Amino acid sequence: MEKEKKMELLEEMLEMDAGTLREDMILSEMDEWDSLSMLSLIVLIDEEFGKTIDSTDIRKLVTVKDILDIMCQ
Amino acid sequence: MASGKLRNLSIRGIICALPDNKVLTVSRENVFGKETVDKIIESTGITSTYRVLPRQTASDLCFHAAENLIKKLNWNKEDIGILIFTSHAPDYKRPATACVLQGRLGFSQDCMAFDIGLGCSGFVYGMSVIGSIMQNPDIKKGLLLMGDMSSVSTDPDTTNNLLFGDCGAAVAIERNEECEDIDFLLKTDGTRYQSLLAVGGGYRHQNNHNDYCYMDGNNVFSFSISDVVKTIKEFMDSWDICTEDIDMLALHQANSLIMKNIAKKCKISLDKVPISINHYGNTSSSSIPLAIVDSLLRNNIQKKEKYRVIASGYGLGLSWGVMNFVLESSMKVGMLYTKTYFDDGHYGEGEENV
Repeated sequence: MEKEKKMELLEEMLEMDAGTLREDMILSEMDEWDSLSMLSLIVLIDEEFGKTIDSTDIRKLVTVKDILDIMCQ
Repeated sequence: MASGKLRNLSIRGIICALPDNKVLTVSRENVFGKETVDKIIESTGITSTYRVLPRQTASDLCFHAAENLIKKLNWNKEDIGILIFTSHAPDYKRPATACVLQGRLGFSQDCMAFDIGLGCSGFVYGMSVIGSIMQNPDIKKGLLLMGDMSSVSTDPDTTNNLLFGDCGAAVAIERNEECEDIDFLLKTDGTRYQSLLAVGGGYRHQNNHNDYCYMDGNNVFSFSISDVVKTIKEFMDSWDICTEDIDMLALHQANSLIMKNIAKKCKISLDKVPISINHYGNTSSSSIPLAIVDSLLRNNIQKKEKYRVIASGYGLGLSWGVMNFVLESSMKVGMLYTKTYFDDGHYGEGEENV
């Protein structure tokens, strides 16, 4: 999947306007990154990439780029 | 494999008892703030829960459900050969609560009684255990009780507490030569026990009195949409069950997002999935019988003479399972509300004889 498409999926998941999400954004500083969006990410990775991530994986996420990296693995 | 087939057993009735104390989720705004509470309601759909009253316990709810079910069925208590109480909220550290219930219910001494210490998988485990023992034809009638009071066992200062309600359920099972088989498949993964854990209150950490249940929500969520789905698919493949054969997919009411995800992945239409979490919250071991009774009483499920049900419970352990069974529309169902509790005559510090 193209990086642009992944960013679109994440923007949709985080209910952000198109084109506003950047790779270097720090998740802990984003209002949109809360416990509910973490569950949404688990579903997104599961449905779109067929992978199961858990708390350990989520704790390691610092920036948006880390989410993109998980999608690539 | 922990699977099996149970023959000659039918479910004669299910009654659920709720504490007569409805708490609206919005009423907790004073503790958690409006924004947080609104978000929880939006994401979980939980608009109310029923919470035990002071001194009321899970076994009191089960007792009330059991008494009413026995009366409705016109059963002779002498005929009940097995009583199982499935719960992680026992009345005492010892003895088993099932023994106390056997005495309170006035069952004969010719009745085996014991507890199963599980949570949200309690219904499928309880049914599998009671059904397996009742393969012995000497036991004609059995009672499976499931109850928890997670409103008390989760920290009231955390938002997790908003997700849980209390309930007790009673399921009556009888030997019947003319009924369809029940199949089950049970699993455990103790390497993930810390995902749902109350550290204090046991013997491992005797100086730790914090017995609130901690929940790693992300891990539990991942487990539910991956392992549980795999097991339901494995079960359906093993017993050659098509989605068209199912009238009801009765899932543990943990979270509506989880239930929708499981139904979608198993390709089972959502209108076959009873969803009652919005009215009662997550009631742990009793959530499957509560969802079944609620949907039958509200006519949320298409009316039939017979319902072919697949049930799946999943939770602390981690422990999960799947089973199928047939419910006849003639079986007794009911929903009760109670303020009663068992006054055992023991009063500790801070407790009053009320």
